Amino acid sequence: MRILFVMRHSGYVRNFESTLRMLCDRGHRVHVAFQNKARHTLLDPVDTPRLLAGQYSNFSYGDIPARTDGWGLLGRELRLGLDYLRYLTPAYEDAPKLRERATRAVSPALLARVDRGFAKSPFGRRLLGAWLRALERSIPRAPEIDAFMAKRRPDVLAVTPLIEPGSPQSEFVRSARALGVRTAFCVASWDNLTNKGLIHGPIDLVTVWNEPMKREAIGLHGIRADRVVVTGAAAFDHWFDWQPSSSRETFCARVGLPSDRPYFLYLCSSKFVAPEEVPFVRRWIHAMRQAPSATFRDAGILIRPHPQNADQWRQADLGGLDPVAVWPKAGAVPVDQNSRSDYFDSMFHCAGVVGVNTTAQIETAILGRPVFTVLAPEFRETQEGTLHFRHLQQVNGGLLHVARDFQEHLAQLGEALGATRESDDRCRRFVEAFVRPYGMDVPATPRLVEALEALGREPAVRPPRDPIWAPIARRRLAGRISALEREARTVAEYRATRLALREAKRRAKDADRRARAADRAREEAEHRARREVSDETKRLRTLPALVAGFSRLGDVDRRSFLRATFDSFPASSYIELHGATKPRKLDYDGADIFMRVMTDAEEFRLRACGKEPFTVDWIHQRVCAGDVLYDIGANVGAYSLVAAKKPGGAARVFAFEPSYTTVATLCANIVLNDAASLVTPVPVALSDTTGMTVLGLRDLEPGAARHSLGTHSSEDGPIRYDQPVMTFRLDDLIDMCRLPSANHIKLDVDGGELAVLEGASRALSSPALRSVLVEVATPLSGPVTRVLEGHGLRLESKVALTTKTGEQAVWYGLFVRDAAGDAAVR
Amino acid sequence: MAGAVQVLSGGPCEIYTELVETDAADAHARDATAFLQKLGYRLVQVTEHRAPGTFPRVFDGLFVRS
Repeated sequence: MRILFVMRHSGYVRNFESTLRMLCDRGHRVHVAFQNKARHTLLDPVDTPRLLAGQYSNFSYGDIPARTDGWGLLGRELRLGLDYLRYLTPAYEDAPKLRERATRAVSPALLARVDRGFAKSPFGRRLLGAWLRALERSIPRAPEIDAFMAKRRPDVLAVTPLIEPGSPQSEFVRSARALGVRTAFCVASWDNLTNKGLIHGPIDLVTVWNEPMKREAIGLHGIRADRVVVTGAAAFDHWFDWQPSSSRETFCARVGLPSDRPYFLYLCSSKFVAPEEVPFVRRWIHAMRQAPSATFRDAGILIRPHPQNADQWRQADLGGLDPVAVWPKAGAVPVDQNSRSDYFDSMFHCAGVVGVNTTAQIETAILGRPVFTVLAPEFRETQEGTLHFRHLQQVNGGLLHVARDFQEHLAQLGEALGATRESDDRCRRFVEAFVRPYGMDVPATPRLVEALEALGREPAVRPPRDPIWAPIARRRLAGRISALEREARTVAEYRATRLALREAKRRAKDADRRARAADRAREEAEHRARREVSDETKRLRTLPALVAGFSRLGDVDRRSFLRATFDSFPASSYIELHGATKPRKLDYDGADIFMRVMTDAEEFRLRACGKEPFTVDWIHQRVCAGDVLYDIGANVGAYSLVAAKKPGGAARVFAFEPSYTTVATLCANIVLNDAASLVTPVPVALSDTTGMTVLGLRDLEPGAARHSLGTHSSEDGPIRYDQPVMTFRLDDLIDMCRLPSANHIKLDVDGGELAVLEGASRALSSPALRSVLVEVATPLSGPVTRVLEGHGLRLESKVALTTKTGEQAVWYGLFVRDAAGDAAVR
Repeated sequence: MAGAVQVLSGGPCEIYTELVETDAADAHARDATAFLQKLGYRLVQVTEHRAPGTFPRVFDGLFVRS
């Protein structure tokens, strides 16, 4: 079967997505044609038609031509008149806002007739209605729409919403019926048959959700009872299968509400129903916070803005009413997986729902949550002044707990929370009557699809003939047609001019704004620079004033101060500054090794090779390419880098250094010499225990030495800073980090040597270890020698450096494993 | 966190962690949440860094275990 489904815009697809899918699944060819060419990005953000076309080869979509000629304009004018007359009937006596909306669309001539002419009485209005209908029937069909229908040649034409004011979709129905095509009006929502326009002209099928809506189709639109089929609300079928996507705790945390108490969900209404809803919601929350019951005083409030009426919530002030969350602040149409889950979860986890008059209240009923409303004076015309609101009040006992004021509302809230079963029953009764009239387990989509299929099996429609008065009427209407066309041209020109003017104004304003912003930014930058420089340079008059001023500044001001200070220096000062940190060369002849030098101590390290030539000799003679060297007490890495860069092949070095300032320079030097693959900095202390301790820094300068581990004093001078450090037994660290066994160890830890050796028994006993070079204070040379000899290492050579007074100060010992072991390992 | 199961299971603890979802299909944050929930933690607070619905989504989650 070929089904052509005409929709006003792509936003209607979400109401019929399950129906379209099932039609495709059953093998029908489905084409959806939209009156509005542009996709409705708010109601159809995920482009559902495109997704369906990607999933079903028998689904397609596109546009349908719109009628723009004079006859089309006249037809619309006549139908608007009929729609308006509807709101003057007794059924709409208490619906002033609906009537006022219809008044805005109707032609002034008709309005004058109704207000002052013969149509002032009910009888006169009936006569006028008959006259308008007769004229409307005499209008010729649109050739472009006839051509479209002939090309598509559907078995069934379905339309929605059909009842929009002036009903342009009536043209599609007429053209289809002229070709013998059966036509169906699939009602999209529960307010469509009472809130909008009329069904104009004959139609073969009207599908509605429930019996109350069937009565509306018959009573308000004059449709024959056998042409109306109750299907249930296909748009809600998926609600019965969903499960929450998150726990209550997770959801509350996500929206910013406490999870240790219930929250109430306020569902906002459309712009038509509640154009200014924030003041009402503020009053409602205030009433909650004044309630005698702590349940309401402390309850969480979640406000969910209507997606088409969310602007008012962007700047809404709800201060002092916490805990309150407005989420999602910009509103969201629940069409994709995430937004649907959010929407569902917000209802699922709440204690109750409050709102003015919105479809979301029906969705809440499906979940069995109690639904409340307060009859607010400002919404009187869109609550009790609309017919569809009565469904929520009355169908099968009614869904809503309706209160006349906040006091009654709070009492209802308290009762409903205490009587969950009653609330459940109320919701179930309503849903059974309004959403799933064939039973809670019977989905609506198959019913709707079957209704369309049954229509497709009916014999072709006998094309209606033009009424006999049509030729005369058309001649009489020619003048009106010309006037409408002139009016339309004028309106179009006016709109085009207004649009062009608006666009030109917008562009000019944008350009002006950009230029002003640029000027302002430039001026501000210049002013800031001038002010900063002038203010700060005043303080730079004397060095003591500078130091005193600086110490009084906070962090942010200090940075501004320094920036302003440097800004006041000549540009060449930057060159000098960079020159001061330019890397300098280590005194090593075997390769170019560069070191960062910012301090006296680092400068001293540049002469490391001249200071310890025997260390360089040891590295050259003993440390072979690929050997692993543990440089314990690596300082800024001079010897580590010699081992990594020496001629004859690089060693693999692990450089142990705990002082954080020195580690920074060690890392910088590794970077400077491109040695990251050869030298691994290990920023921890080694000792005889694994744990936490402090490293007493004698000097904070990078490159400084003679620090003291685990004590707060030093024989070399006072401790400037106790740095917390992690300390490891070397054996533990090797196990934990799976370090490769050392072939060589250089040990220079300024007093902690015995503790390091104590924690390195296995490393020292390893046959892989071939040599150890130790620097110790002379008094420790004996104990250190004994420990190392205990691990099978022999003192091969030693060097003793003396002080200027001739005292022995430092002792270097080279220990090796004997040649047999050495050879065995290698 | 997978390397810290003993620490995370050891006693009452709060974890404040920044999580990132590069897009709607990114399961990283959900996996991390599920991992902690298995260890008995509850997500009690979420602080979004950016407007909801925008990706990458960056948020701080406070997980507690009593």
